[in-house]
Amino acid sequence: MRSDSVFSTSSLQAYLSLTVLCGIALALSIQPPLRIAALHASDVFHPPSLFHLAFVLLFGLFSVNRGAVIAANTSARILRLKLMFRFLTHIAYGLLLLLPYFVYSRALIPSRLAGMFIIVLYVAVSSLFFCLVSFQLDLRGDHRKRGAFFLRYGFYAAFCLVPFGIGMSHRSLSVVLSVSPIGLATRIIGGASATELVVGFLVPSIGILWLLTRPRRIDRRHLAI
Amino acid sequence: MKRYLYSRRAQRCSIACVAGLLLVSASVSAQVELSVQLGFENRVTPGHYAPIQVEVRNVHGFGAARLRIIQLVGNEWRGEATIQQELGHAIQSDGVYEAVIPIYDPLNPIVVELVSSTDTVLASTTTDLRGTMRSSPYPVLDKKIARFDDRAAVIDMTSLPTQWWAFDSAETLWVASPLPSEAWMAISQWVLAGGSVVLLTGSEFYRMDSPILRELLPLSNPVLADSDRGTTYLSGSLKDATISMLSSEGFPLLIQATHGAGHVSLVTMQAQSLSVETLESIGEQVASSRLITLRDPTEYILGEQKIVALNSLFVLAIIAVLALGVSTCALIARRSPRMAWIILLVVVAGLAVSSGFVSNPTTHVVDLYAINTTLYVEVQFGLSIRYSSLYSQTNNPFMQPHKEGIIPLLFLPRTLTGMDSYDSSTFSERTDMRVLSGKMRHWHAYGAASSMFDVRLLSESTIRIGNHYALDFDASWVSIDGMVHSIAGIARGVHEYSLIPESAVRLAVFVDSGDANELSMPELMLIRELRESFPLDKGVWLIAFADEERISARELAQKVRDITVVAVQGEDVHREI
Repeated sequence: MRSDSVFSTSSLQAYLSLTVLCGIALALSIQPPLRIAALHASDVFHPPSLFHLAFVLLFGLFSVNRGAVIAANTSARILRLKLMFRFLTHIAYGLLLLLPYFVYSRALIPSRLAGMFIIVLYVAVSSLFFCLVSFQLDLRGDHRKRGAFFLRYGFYAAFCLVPFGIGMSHRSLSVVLSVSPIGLATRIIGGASATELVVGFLVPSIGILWLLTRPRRIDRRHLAI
Repeated sequence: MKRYLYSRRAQRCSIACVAGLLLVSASVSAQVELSVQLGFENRVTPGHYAPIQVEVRNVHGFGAARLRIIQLVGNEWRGEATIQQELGHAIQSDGVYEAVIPIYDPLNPIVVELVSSTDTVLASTTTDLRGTMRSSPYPVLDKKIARFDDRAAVIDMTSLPTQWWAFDSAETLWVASPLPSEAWMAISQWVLAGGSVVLLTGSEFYRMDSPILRELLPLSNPVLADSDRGTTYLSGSLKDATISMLSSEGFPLLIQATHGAGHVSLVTMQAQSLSVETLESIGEQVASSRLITLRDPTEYILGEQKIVALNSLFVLAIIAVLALGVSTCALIARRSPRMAWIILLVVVAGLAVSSGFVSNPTTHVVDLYAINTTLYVEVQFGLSIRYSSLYSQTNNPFMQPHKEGIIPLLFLPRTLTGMDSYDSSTFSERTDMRVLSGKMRHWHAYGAASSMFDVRLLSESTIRIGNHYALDFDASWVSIDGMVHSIAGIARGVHEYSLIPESAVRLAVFVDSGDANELSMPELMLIRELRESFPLDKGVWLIAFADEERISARELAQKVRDITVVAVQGEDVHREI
């Protein structure tokens, strides 16, 4: 069995982590069955959107990881269609595993049921983008594993935090918030505008198109082979 | 010829000017005018109801208009809220329109608007009550009585409101004139709910006499008598009353008794014969009104309500099954990846379906919790008092339904700053409001009701109860001179119920050992509240409870608990015979 297959031992770890962490986030999103007086008196905050935010973030991390694993086990000359199929298999498998959580979480924010579907769709698109970025960064890594690791996860952290910080800095820049997965997930739960959705989906979509259409630069590692 | 032409022009000009002036004056005369009278002698008290009279003049040319009152509460430092109330009248002609509205903050001007069906403001007037407002309830005096208290409002009794909660801001109501039966009924209901009326009779008694007055009087068989010095006063047999003050001539001057939750004070002399000093000393002895409040029990019951929540343990079970499934599939996939996919799909589908059943939003999503406690009291006349407490789990606006023509009084905290909004709009049968998630809100409303029950004690072991209220009651008790008999429930219609005198318990024991009598927490709390307000240990009383819980999904999913408690004074036909 290929080591980047969805059923491989290394993948098992990633899937188990994703399942357990998202499950914990879901359990934490659930309000405890307290009396109203106790709930009113306490300052305990139970954000029902915690699961959705954790899902977006964890799935992004998972995609970065999958991209790197696939890059480590694939030739740079692999057909793009085949590469996309591998990425999509991992993304679909991850989303399939989390399906029971999505169904269960519909009672958390019932007024935003459509938002749940939009978040899943966004996660699918952005995950593909992160897989591709991670794959490309790993190919350019020149065997410096540690450097490639920091580059991958640094890029992901920057992608999440920089637009979020800019968007939060001033009201006029709030549209930039939607570029960040955290920002967009928050906006979708609160009721995102069409502009915010377009911006949120446009950035990873353009990224995917750019990464898939740009001419390939084969690195020395693969030339040596 | 020229002169002729000039004169013709001048004539035309003058006609045009006159026509123009007429048009302008016609438009001026067509302007709708509003004049407003609020409270008694423009005295109002914040957090209390007050009567309002709006006189509308020059109404023509538009369909049914509405009267809207806009009250601004607070200030920039305290925080602000805007409360709008629409009176239920459809205004199509000139007239005086009356209603009873809650007053929130008379330090700010109160705006009254006449609004067309298309929401266009046709006329508007502003009332400034800063000079006349009272921070606490004040005495309301008949104009026949000398103003012995600076706080008092002196009014003409012919214009007395007919909705009993209009007297909410009255500390005491002093009556010395004959009244129409509607006004007597309103006074009787107010006293039943905790009001305090002072009846000044003497030689005026027979002019004032009415069946309702007889019921209120602390004397039975009232007759006029003359003292040795020739002073006419009202005499009779004391019902269950106390003489609080003697006149200088030796006859009882002030007799006081309780009626329902309130007090009736009888001054046996006519108003004009009393000096300001005597009125002052009577005023000192008269009990103040204190209307029944169910706010504390309602808030407590809401606080005890458990939040409807999803089961976290189920999530842990899903995690465990998924982890096991993923690991098993990884093992199976070494031999047969296709089989692994099939098993995984089956496991995930099974978990998704069971998640769907367990987390059904129709039963697991509650945006708003509401406890509505309605007290219906019937002693000769009926009245209802409704308290409502809300707890929100959403920031979305919602509406609270209530009876037509009733304007609820919202409880507003001192500080109105922060994210939470205290704005509200009351329409004919509903109030629209918004409460921030995790916050509570309380309101109450009063109402009048016709007689709904007929309770007659036929014998020591039989009672006949006619229930024409639109509810079946789950639990009920009959208190006969302080001995409580339990009845399983009261169905609609007229039925006879058996009482077992041997199983009756004393009222004090019944209330103190609520658990032993299997009383639920709301029942026990509300019976204790009733016992404090009404003389349940005297005569025949029926106490009945209905407790209904429902989840309604209008614009928001609401879990509503309607608790209805009924206290009816019955007749002891058995002993009368």
